[in-house]
Amino acid sequence: MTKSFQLDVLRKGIRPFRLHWFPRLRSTNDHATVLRKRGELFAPAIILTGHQIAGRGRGANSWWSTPGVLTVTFVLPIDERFAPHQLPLLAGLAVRDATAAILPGAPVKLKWPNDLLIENRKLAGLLCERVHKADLIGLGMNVNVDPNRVPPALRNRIMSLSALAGKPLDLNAVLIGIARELYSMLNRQDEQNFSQRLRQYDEHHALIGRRVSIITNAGDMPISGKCEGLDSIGRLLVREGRTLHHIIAGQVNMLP
Amino acid sequence: MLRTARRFCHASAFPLTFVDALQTDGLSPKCGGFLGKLKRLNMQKLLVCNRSEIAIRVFRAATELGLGTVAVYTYEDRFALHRFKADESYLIGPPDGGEPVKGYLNIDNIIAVAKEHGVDAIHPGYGFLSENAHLARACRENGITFVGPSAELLEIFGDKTEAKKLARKTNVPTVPGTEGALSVLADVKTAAKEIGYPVIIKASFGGGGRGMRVVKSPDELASKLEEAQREAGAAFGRPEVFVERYIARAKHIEVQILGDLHGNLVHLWERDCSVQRRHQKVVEVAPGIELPRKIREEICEAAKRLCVGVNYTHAGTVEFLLDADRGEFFFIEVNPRIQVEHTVTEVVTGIDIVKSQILVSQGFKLHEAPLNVPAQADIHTKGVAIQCRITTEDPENNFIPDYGRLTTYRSAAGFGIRLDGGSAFSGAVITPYFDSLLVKVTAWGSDMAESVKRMDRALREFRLRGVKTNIPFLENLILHPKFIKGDATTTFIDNTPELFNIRHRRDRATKLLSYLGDVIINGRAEVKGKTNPKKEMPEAAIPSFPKVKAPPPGSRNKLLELGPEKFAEWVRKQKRLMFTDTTMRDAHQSLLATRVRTIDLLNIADAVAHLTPNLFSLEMWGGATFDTSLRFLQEDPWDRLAQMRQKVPNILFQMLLRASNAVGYTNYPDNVVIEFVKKSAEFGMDIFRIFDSLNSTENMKVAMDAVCEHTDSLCEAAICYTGDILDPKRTKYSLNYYVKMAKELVKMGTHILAIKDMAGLCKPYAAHALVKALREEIGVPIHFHTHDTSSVQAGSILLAHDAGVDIADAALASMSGMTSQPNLNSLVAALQNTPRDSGLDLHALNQLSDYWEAVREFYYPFEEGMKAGTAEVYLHEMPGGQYTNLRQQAKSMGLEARWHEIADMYATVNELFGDIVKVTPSSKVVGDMALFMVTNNLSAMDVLTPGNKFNFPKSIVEMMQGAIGWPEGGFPKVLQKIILDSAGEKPMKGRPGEKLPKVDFAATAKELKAKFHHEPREQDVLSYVLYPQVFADYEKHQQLYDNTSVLPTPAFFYGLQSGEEISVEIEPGKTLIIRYLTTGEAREDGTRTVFFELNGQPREVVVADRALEGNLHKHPKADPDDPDHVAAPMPGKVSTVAVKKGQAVKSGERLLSIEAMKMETAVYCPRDAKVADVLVKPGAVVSARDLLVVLEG
Repeated sequence: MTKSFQLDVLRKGIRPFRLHWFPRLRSTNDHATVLRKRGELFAPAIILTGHQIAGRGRGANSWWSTPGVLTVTFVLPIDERFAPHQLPLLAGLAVRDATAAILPGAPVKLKWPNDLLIENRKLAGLLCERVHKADLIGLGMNVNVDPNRVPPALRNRIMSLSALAGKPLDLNAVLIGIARELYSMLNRQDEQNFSQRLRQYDEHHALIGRRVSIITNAGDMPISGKCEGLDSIGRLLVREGRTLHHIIAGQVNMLP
Repeated sequence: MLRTARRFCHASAFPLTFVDALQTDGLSPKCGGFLGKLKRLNMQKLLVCNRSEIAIRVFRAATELGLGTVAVYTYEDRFALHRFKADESYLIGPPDGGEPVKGYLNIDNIIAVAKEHGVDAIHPGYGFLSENAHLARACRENGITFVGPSAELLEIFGDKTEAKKLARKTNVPTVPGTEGALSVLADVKTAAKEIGYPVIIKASFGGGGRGMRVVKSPDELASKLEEAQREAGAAFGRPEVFVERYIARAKHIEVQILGDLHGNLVHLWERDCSVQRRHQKVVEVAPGIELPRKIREEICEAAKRLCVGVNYTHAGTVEFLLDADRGEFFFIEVNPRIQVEHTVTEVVTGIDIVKSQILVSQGFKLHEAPLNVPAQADIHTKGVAIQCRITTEDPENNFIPDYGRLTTYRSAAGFGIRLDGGSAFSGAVITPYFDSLLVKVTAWGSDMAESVKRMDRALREFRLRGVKTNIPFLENLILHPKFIKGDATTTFIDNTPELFNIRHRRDRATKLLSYLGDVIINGRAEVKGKTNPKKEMPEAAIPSFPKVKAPPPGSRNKLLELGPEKFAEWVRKQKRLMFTDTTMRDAHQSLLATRVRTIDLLNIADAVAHLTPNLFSLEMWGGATFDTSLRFLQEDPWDRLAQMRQKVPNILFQMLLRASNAVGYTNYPDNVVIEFVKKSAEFGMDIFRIFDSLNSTENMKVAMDAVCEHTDSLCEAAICYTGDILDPKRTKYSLNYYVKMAKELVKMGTHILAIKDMAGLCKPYAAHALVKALREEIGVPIHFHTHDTSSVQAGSILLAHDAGVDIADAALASMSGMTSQPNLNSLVAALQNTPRDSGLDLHALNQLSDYWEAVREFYYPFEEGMKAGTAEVYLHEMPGGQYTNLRQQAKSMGLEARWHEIADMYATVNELFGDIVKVTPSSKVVGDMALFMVTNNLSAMDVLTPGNKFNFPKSIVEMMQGAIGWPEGGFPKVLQKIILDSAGEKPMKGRPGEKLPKVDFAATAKELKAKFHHEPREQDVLSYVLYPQVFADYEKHQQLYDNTSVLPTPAFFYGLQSGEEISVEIEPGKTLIIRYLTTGEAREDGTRTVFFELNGQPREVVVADRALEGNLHKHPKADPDDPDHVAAPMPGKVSTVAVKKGQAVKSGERLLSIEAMKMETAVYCPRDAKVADVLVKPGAVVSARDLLVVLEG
């Protein structure tokens, strides 16, 4: 059991991804974009850092990071078999499945589009981007987070895998598990179509039946209503009175 | 409904006591489920922790046993049928939903519901918790009977390795293979030898078919192993492999087992479930199709042996793979529960398996009452049963389950058909949460052939609308010879692409309803603003005639008997004046803008054939009817001709053919004209009246030759009459001119000569003089055609008759007069009791006229409003049909008030053009020029002033080039030069038709097939050649709405009023009764639901309300062929826009970003360019392919 990365183990375990390791990075997604633009990064690859200084979330949000947080970007060649907007949902589902396999029985849920929750606390977040003919799947996952190092404001809002397991986990095994699941899911496109995937998504969807509020554009009135799941292209269905909204992008908050 | 006056109906027959021991103790050491001494259990209330079809199946059995039934359901299933088929039902899972499936898996909740409501037994169905040992155990712990084997048995069969161990122990063969992973060739070789070839090598960490190799013999083992390892190594980094026996042609055979708690166990023979898709069974058959007796017995005995080995209880299934080539079978697994396909076994053995399960749980013995299962030796199968699962899976779309509202559900029934329905009923909402099974159909027949036919019949009997189903796929499947012969193996569906040649049901009713819905909401453009919704449409009564007899012989019988030349001679010998009835063509072309629909012609056709067989002919085709029926009525003109021919076999059909323009407005290549004539004759056309709009006999030759040389029909060449032969000042079109032309036409071989007085200019005494002169010079019959615009043309017919004309055109009274033909009824009356009495029945003609009087009301928006005859026609010389059209055209241009000015200008233009014959298409050009001059306030002087240049309409320029031929003496040189110079064009030389390249019909047919995705008929190719765009639009209409020509005319033009009912005969003997109920509120997307009753059943269609289109946000789409268009790559929200209008951008520069589901996609510039326009702002929601940025430079 080890809490730090063993690069030789990783290199072997994550094949066919190539490993690019950086002890410190501002953001793995940003760095992948830079490398890609320079023509120095070939997909499939993994950009991994031990310490991320300026991680990004959706839009202008930032991602708080501390040792024990897995911060990694998976770089994949663009696959014509699925549309770009399907990727975040598929990736979210894959990471969820991988996590559930690492900790059998862990009640890992998805919050649309692709946050991972355990008992309504955030376990992981994904940020997908399509840049320079590659798809980036940035992942931040709380694996071995020491609760004492979490800012008090976040303490009740995040969850670490180690807290659930009651012991620290092997970061290498977690990353290998996720890499394999992601790779095989994205390569299983022929076997299962997107609508079947959406049904699997539904099974683990934390928002179905819950009241949510969504801010689609900064400054606009939020939409709040009951989540009715996803539509056929994966948009979030929210019923507000007699209107059914199909949300394609926005900041989602769960209401009590 | 299964609610019964229930309970305790067995109580007196079987004194029962509750036995705890059954639930907790007495298990044999082998963990089987039976007891040495057993008391019976008093079961009263049974809960089924399942949904849909199987829940209902169990309730049916329980009700027959007098048990109370309890259903459980999740929020999403609150309208599901199984809830209502039980005596009581309780919600499980969260009260406001969110766990549609999970609720059925929650053991604690289910047990709680059971305990709270006094349930003493739980049946798990199949799927969900049916094989869950925890449930069985929880039941036991809570004193509830679990209808199924014990938890211990479930555990054994839940573990595949354990099950295989058991199989080996009981001497049941399993698929030979290695137990661990191998990587060294020598080991693989030894293993393969033991297993026996052919073998399959599978990569331990494989998937998706990679790293898999079939090895047929030892000598190819080394190379195949290396390939497999290399592939697996590259893909997964691990070279280990498994080796297994390869079964090339595997059949899935399974055996139904039934055991009690007392050690009795039987098999109920086998089922063949080989037809599978992705390991899901699709069609099941009992007994195995064409399975040799010996194999059947061996396989069933093996299954029984295996189950006896563990003292199996209740219903269970032992599954085997049968190697179809070697006859060897191998154990796969045991399903310790009821199965979807249990129905086929029940049907062929007569044993109710579900009921047996419940009775077994109550402690009854298998071979005693009430179970009464025969001893093994006496269990036989009778006949063949097939089960099909009807699902909402779309076979053409990779079997993706469809969902939505099931708008119509009509099921099959009858002898030998069993249905096990789930939530399938009209109005049911199919949700994406559950499996897509709608209903199971089981067909029984005395043998496979009968069973297949019965299933086919049942599948065809189903009517399911609103969601897609797999029925057409199932039909292909069960009728496939391989399936019927028993040759289908587990790869049958994957390897039989023809199963996916889905025959689409035409679904004509829904399409017609969609059309009616569209007309009700949006109306039809050509009647818009002219309709009166309060207008009562009259009943068009059809006169009575003896229907049983064939119609009396008429002119057509004569033509068929004599041939065209002899027939012409026969006509000359007739004393009576003969009449052509133009009601079905020229009359409505002149009065109602050619809008009369086929259905109104067909409705009266029988009566015409029976009542007026003495007519010379019916003019019913050609002229503008061809174009109009395709363009405005969305009807096929060829169908009209064929259907009319069928109803009127005895009277000659006549059409108007515009020589080289055929039935179009431009010149066509000669081969098109010839083919058109041939095809029309083939469809039953008897008389071709051929004319040229400029009286050019040269232009008429191709069409005349086509009739005379390629058909047995009559050629009736026409001289178009214009001017006034009695006016000594007008010398261009003199009596001599017409006689000369007539003689030439006779020389060219015409069988009949027509005088075509299309504008009604041939005044009575001119008609007399003309006919007299012609009669003296030519021998063929003379046919006089005129229009009654001036209202003295009946006089012309009578004087022509005096001068010896043979045939005259007239229209039925209610469709005569004004721009139409003179009144047939009155002319017939006028000639009564004279030597040349027409022989027509005046009473019958009046009845037919009454019909048309009523029908004419259907077309009131198309009436042009002329109230009385006019002598103005002698000034402008406008043809009857054009008068109506030009007036409409003027109106649409806002020139209605200047109509008389336009009419005067028409005469002026005629003079400018050098006094030409004016009939389609030349008359149209004169009209275009008149409108052009009036709108631009030009006089003849303005046009003729040298140096003036005008932007003349195209039709005028083309005519001056000679595109429709040359008039007598040519066009005035000065005018021709001015017009052609203005347009920068030059005159053409010679006849236009001969220079046009021939049309390649075979190539055109191919083009059509590619365009419209079906094989075109020969006549379709012709329609397309004549009117490519019009025909394409017509095809689109057919695909959307099917054949709307069957709709009654008022419904076709004006839709229906609320509560109105119509009957529509879509083919002989197939009548739809349609009632329009109401229209729903407009939705956000601009659509409305229109509610109907179809044959008494509610039906609805969704129609886009075009009035709301303006309110909808519609973003323009990028043109994929336009390199300046930058399109949205996916649906989403624009998050940032990086460029501005006018900005120079480099190739690869980011233009903007789109966000969807938190995915940011950058849109890059495809090349160096300047931004011409940015169509979106941050925050805008776009769809895929929406136009985002336009580039330039």
